[in-house]
Amino acid sequence: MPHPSSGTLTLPSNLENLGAMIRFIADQARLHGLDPKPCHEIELACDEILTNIMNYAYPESRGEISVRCGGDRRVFRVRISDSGIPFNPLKTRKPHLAGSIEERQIGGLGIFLARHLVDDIQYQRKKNRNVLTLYKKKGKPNKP
Amino acid sequence: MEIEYVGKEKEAVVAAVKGRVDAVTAPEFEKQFSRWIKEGNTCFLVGFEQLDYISSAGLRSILVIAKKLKGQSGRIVLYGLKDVVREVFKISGFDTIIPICGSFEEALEQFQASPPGA
Repeated sequence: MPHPSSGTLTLPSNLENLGAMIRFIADQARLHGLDPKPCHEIELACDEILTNIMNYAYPESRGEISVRCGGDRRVFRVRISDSGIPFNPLKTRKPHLAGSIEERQIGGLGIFLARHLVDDIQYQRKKNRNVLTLYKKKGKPNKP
Repeated sequence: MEIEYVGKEKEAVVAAVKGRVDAVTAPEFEKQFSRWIKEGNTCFLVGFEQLDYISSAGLRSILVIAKKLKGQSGRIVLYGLKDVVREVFKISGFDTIIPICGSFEEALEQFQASPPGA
């Protein structure tokens, strides 16, 4: 069976487009044969990355986000890129995950969650763009 | 996302959350609870049985609410989490600061066994 071709979606970096981008990624993940659980995990990981870009990448201008999905027999891949301020989310510190309600800090969890939910994640700064690639392994293919 | 007011049980507001709590809907989620707190409610039993999805924006809102309630000797107890939602609470360590129960009955039992402020 041929593999689904890669798909790309580019939209303005704005929270109102979060739903459309997440639906696109979830659809692509299903087309690539991901089971519901890994599908939910890559969806949530991308949600965290996209939310971060929409909130912080373009503080003084408007910009776009591109999402490109692809993969092969073993892995589903999502590449998220923006031309906002240079930011490597993999260099952020891990939030404190212990302590009481009073001690917990608000925020900082999103990138930690994203890293935890995928099998691999890589950052590159390429031609003035932040390019983040997330990888999710496919389980055993479902029998038809 | 939808928040349904179910009723009151032993001074606690019982509510059910449906759909998705993400960066888009979390502010609305937080606002509804802030409204209830402003009205003088300090205890909440919240059903997540029909909650399909929560992102860190939703966790952040729950933490904001829990912090507010802590200051007023109140509390929020969650019940009926789906596996995918429970996983997010576990990874983030939120299951250690927010009481999570399997069912409404269990949540009510826990609420009665250790009343707020105790």
